[in-house]
Amino acid sequence: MNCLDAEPLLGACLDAELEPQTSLEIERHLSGCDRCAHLYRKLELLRDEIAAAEPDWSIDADLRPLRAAIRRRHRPSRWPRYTLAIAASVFVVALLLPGNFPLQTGGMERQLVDSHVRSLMADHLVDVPSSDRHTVKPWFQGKLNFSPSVPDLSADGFVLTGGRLDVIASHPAAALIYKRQSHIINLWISPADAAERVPSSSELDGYHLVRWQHGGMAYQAVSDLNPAELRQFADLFRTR
Amino acid sequence: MTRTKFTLTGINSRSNALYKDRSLLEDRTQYFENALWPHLRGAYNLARWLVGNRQDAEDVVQESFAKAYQAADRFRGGDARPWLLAIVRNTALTFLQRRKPKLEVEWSENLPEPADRTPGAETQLIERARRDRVRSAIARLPEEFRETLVLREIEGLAYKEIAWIMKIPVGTVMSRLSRARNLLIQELIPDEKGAQ
Repeated sequence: MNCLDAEPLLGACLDAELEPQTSLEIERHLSGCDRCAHLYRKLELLRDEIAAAEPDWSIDADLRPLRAAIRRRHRPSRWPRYTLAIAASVFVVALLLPGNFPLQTGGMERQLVDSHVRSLMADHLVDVPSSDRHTVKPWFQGKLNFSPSVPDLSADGFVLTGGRLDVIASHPAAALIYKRQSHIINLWISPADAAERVPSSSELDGYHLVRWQHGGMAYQAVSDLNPAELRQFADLFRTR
Repeated sequence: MTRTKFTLTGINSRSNALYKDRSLLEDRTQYFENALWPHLRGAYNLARWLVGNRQDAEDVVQESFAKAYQAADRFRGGDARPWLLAIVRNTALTFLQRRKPKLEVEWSENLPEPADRTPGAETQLIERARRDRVRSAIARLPEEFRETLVLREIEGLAYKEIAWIMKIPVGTVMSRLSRARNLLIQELIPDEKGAQ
């Protein structure tokens, strides 16, 4: 076997995809050909480098929200269809009831998580993409009747990514987007309707929510980040 | 994707069909749990390499699982991975055709990562730099090369399986892999290291 025959087969030889007879001929050729042996060595180094670097995207991705979304979609229904219809109408009636009906909170959390997921899906995460608070804060001027605080938390690993106008519970809100490694945090700021409150956390569909009120404003954050770090984000934001 | 034989028609009737369909449904759930679920990571990885960002990859995987679920009765046991990955690939390619060309650079991948000051952060930083370097080299490969290389080097599939997934001859798999690797060697493997 000469170089012309051997060279295109070196990769397949490394992958153990050749007939034993062909592999043997390659090996024989390599022992006598410095040029091909050198190429083969480089292929080995490349294979090792790729294995060591672990470029697999699933390695550092949090797949829990995806898993939850798929499960939601394919959970086999064991109830007749009308059960769902009844549940839905009960829910709608509950939403229409005035006052502080407990479901209202649930509805709000659902709204926030949905809005978070939508912002990630729809290619509309930010209206003003910037990591500079001096760009993001003035951008809201004239668009809202309040001025949201936009602290720089990058020193603590929460990088400002941009801002967006949003509507939460039929009220205009400033949405700030921060990023922690590959995790996106949506933070909605709108005028508060109640007295000052300390952060409270909850979870829905694998997303975590933290809500607090401060200085007459309501803050609501949603992320797939773990609860401890989201809480840390809230504490940093509140004390800045 | 053709419709499966067991659409949920029987579920509302009170006949024997109800019982029968339920057991089919359970079979299907079982199939989903055992055959597909273990390959979520691989599915996400391939989708992520093909569409280039996390949100789109997640959408593609969701859609792929829905398709795989619907086509459950066409799966004949054995390793579901090449089968699922083929669905992911088709879904991703359709998605790419539909997707509007993006004007802006993908900000979500290009922002500098925040500095981590926890113990062991330095090692992590080095590891991340290595990963980023290899990832960006692979990402810059032409699409067909990238796809072939990812299926081989990251998903560890055999040439035959790659050929089946990409609907190309085994010989083409081999030549694409070879081209892809040569490009990566130029990028990632410095000369002095190989010359020892």
